[in-house]
Amino acid sequence: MAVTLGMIVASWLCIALYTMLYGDNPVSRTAEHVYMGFLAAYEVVVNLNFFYTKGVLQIAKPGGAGYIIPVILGFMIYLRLNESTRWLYRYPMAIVIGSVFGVTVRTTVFSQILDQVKGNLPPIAPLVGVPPGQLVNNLIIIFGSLSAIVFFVFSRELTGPERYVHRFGRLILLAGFGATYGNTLSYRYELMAGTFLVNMFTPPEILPYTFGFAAALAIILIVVYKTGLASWE
Amino acid sequence: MTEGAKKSFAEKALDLDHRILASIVFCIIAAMILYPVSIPFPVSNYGQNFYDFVHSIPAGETIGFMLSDTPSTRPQLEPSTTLSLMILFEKDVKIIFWQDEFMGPPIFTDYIAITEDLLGRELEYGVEYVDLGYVAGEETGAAAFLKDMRTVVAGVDVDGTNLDDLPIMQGINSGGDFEYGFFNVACRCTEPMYVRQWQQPYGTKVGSINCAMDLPAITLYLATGQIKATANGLLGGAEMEYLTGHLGTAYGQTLAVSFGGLYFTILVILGNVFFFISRAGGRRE
Amino acid sequence: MTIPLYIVSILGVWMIAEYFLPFLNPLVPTTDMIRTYATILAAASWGLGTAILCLAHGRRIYRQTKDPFWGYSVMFLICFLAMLGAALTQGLKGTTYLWFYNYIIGPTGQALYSTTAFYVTTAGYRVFRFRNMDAAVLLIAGMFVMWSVLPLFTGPFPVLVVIAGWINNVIAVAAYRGFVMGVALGIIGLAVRVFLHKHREVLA
Repeated sequence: MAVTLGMIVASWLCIALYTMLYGDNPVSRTAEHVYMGFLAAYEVVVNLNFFYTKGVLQIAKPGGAGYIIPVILGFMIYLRLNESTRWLYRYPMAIVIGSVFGVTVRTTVFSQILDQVKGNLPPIAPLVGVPPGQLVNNLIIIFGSLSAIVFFVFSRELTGPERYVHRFGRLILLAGFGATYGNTLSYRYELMAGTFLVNMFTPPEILPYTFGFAAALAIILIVVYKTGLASWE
Repeated sequence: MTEGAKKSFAEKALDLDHRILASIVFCIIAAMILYPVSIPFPVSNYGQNFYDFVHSIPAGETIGFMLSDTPSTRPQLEPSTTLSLMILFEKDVKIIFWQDEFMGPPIFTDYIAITEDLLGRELEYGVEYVDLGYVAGEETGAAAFLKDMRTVVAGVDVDGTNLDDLPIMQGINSGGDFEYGFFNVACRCTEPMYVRQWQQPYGTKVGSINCAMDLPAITLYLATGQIKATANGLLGGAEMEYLTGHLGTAYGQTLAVSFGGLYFTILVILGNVFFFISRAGGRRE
Repeated sequence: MTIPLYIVSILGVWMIAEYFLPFLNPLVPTTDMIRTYATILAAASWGLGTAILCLAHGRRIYRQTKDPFWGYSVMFLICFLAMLGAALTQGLKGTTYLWFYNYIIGPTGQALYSTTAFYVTTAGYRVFRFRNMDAAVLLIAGMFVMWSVLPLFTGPFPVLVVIAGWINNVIAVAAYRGFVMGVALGIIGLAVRVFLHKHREVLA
């Protein structure tokens, strides 16, 4: 596969960004600002396009007169930029925040409380008529989750037998977070392997450009810092 | 140990410059990608369940698919996403797509192209699939969209075509019109959001394509049946490649990640060994 | 500040009530419309952060004598305007626009996120210790789960998949069930505080 200019740019930008691991330097800062510039414009374009096509353009359509409300409120958001009109920005944000709280809380009760309580009861976690191994697992899930809730809810220091429940809940939570950390570790390495594979090592014809640029950059950075033209930060 | 006293080997090792550690990781991952070796591995329950769930969707069914991958997670999630789409389109399943993250739309277009390559044919837009485009607003947007799709997207698809003119959209306007659904949320941990706004109100059977970091939070919903199956990160992609017989990039990347994990294991062991040696030698942390 | 807080309270309570109370069904079309408006407002609000960022970089260029790094701000604005220009002239499916996405935004985003792999490696070497029972539990669970997703370990030792499966399906479920229920109670508590105007910071 022929190497295109885009592949070379992608590879070189990745290498430039990775130099930040060796200390803040002009090359990595430039790459960061390039990324920030393009990304900021991209997110604005996509979102304001949604605002324009689903909001502004609907005003002219039959029955769309009501869309003048979110359009005006949408423009009011930008009044935050001016000190004297900053207070007007709270009105559109109040609508967004009220909606978010409303839609989140009303289904949280079911999906994150009631359904989870059901998860500790038969038929999902039966204690009768199951093999011993599954019985032990179900008991761990039931007592573990209750202990974890005790750990969360009771923030004061507990004395007496309930402190063992608190301690067990803490250990269960730590084990759970350990499992999360294990998955997160592999996720981070997956990110790295994916970046190398997609941008720097594929197709094989791009390897000379990748390693050549990396070598040239290493030499330049070493010379710059050894001669004192810039310093590590 | 007082200042100025000579550091022991263990103490010097614990103070090793992070740049050396980073360079070694770089070399290991690069070497494993450039010189891959195939290592067979068992398919996990998660991978098998996800494969079975995709195959369990009846032929001809119309499903919803929130496909909002990001560039950073694309190498991990592309195989499981595109292979799932391949299986679904082979069963003549009709899919209604949308994205809830602004990075999603260009990647969605690429995924359709890759799926068409896998199928060996072009997909018929408006009949086999439709793209309703980006829906802003996170949870509020998802709730509004899944309640009344036509209102939120103003009655048109991403190209401005009237939805009522598309055969696939006949009788489809809310999340409740789907018996099955999928969501690819990349690494944003918004699976609970779709459980709250799609599975719980409408009873849709949902499957998740997510990065490995989200798995512990998802096992909770898998245990209660709120999420039916998950394709878990790169391993899920490699398992899908293996189960469908389309070995590709995920299979190769898993080896590189494996050696990264081996290096991490060695570092943790060495770090603990040096720590206990230096503690036995009297160093204060 | 008072009226916006009342808007938050009324809207939030209304949306919760219409979900549970059937006699509010006649109001459902209005609520749906408000949610649609909120979606449009959420899209509009994305531009605010970018506007503040552009103003900050613009100020840095204007005060260049006081800030030695103003050149990076020039780079930022050039790239910003280039992407904006490509989008406005060619649309969201234009060649140049997609080229910028595929060969600049995508790869640099991947590289930036993947630098965390180097940091977790260093953190594992310096921080992960068997100091006490708590640290040992965290470390052992983490290592088993990490090994279970890596073929180099599961190929020769398939039992790792069984052990990690038990950790994920029993221990992690117990932990996250408690965690999620605690968080859900916290969300409800926060919502009540916001609706009762005890948490005014949500509107800055």
